[in-house]
Amino acid sequence: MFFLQLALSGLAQGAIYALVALSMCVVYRATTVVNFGHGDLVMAGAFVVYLLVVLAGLPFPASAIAAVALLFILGALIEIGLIERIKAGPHIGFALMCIAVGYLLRGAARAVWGREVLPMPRVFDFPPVMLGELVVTADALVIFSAVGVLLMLFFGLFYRTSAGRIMQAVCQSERGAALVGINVRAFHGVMWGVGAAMGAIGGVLVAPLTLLHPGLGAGFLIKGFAAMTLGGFGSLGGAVAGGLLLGVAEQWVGGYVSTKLIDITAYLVIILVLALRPSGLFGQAVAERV
Amino acid sequence: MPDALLRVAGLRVAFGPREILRGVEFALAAGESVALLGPNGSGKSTCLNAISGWIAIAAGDVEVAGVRTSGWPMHRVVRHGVVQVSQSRDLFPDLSVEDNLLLGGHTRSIAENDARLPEMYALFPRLDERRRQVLRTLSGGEQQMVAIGRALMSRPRLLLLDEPSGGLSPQLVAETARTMTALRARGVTMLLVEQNLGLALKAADRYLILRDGLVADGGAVSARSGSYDDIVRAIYL
Ligand SMILES: Nc1ncnc2c1ncn2[C@@H]1O[C@H](COP(=O)(O)OP(=O)(O)OP(=O)(O)O)[C@@H](O)[C@H]1O
Ligand SMILES: [Mg+2]
Repeated sequence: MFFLQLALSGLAQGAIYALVALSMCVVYRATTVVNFGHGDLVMAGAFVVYLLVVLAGLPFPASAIAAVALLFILGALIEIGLIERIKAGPHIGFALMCIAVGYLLRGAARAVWGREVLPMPRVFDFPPVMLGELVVTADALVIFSAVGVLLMLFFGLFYRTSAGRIMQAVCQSERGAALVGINVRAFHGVMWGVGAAMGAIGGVLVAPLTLLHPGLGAGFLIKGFAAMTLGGFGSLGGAVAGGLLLGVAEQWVGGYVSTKLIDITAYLVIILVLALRPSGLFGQAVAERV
Repeated sequence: MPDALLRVAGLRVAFGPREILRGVEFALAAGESVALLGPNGSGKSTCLNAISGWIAIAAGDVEVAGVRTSGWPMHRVVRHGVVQVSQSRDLFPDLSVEDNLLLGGHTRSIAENDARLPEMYALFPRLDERRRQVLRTLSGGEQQMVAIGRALMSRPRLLLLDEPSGGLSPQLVAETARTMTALRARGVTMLLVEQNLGLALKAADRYLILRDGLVADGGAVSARSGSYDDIVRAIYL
């Protein structure tokens, strides 16, 4: 029972990792840029929600929508204003740009927030649901439903609609996309917006559950990387599966080995997967696109 | 040519210090099919890439249907009706044949696209049998058919074809020749780059020879009688 209870809380945590990893993967697949500042976009989502709920007194749902919309715009602006200009340059330029933008966001948050850790009032305040002897907390329920709906929407859109066909096309061949009349630059901007907004949803969901601080994003970035590595770097479905697995693995390691190891589980996962099975658990070799 | 569909004037393209095109001039009338010939590395693909907006030009003008398109990004040139079949094909490897074709017409309405699809399958019956097949599993010749079909889906007013017979067996070259003839009969305006002279001159009304970054020679195909010796000499000597 303990085993399953741990798995359940692991899945709730993992659902957030899955969302963050998927959002990083979307940006990577659509634009070949690995966003090393992505964690700070997650943090920014949480931060904006905090500002709107606690300081502006807006209701949580409205604040959440506003935060996600704002982060969409921010993501698109970062791509169009900064990344696209250096597109012809070397890959290291994208990495440095992403890191710098991430730290800039972190610094901006710190300027407003100070160095304290901020609690946000509880939002999901209803009694837990019992599944036999398993306890499903209100927080877990909200996360499961929100992430579940989001994943269904995303994958449905990506694989089942003509808009999704265009997304897949650009991911597969940018020149081919331009040859059929797709505005690839605008597409890159939109996909950064989508990635930032999806990451922000992760931040919005954890905002009421954790203590907020400007460095919040660093953890999400590394968990996102671990999830992507686990699922096969670049695979959308793999990122989701990897995120869920990582969440569960953390809880099991914490429950059976030592809670001190929870925080390094992600690093161990990255090291072990890269050393033993670099293409990820599902073995899909992903070709590097340059 | 007063009512030219395509007019290229003073076209210059350089990669770093190397000037590949040094003032290329020519024009195509609507409905005309013209072969652009020249040795390897003479800048034929570069010329098509410059017209389609894939690469930046250093100087000159490209005008399509009276509108200056040079300087436009490629997607805008495509929406203006100029579609290129690139030498590397640039298809979508993990999508089906049908999805590749449908994307070719994505700038058009769904109804137009649906009407156009059967025409492509009539032109390429081999693709009809492989609608659901993932593109990367097709043979080179079949992929070339998808590339041409994808370009035709949007009903371009000008088709830029870069080596449609490249890497194909003699039998498939013959099939490509039939496709070219069919396109020509439909009045598709074509600028064709082709190493296979037999195919090029079968599909073209006129030829142009690119040498040292300039159009060095050219003429009507009908004016010659079977032997291409003088053209070969003009290209390679
Ligand atoms: N993107 C590029 N950067 C640098 N040089 C280039 C680039 N594209 C083409 N070139 C150079 O320009 C010259 C012309 O190339 P292009 O591809 O236009 O030749 P081509 O006539 O199409 O040859 P082929 O018959 O072999 O296809 C070549 O020397 C090539 O190396
Ligand atoms: Mg070429």
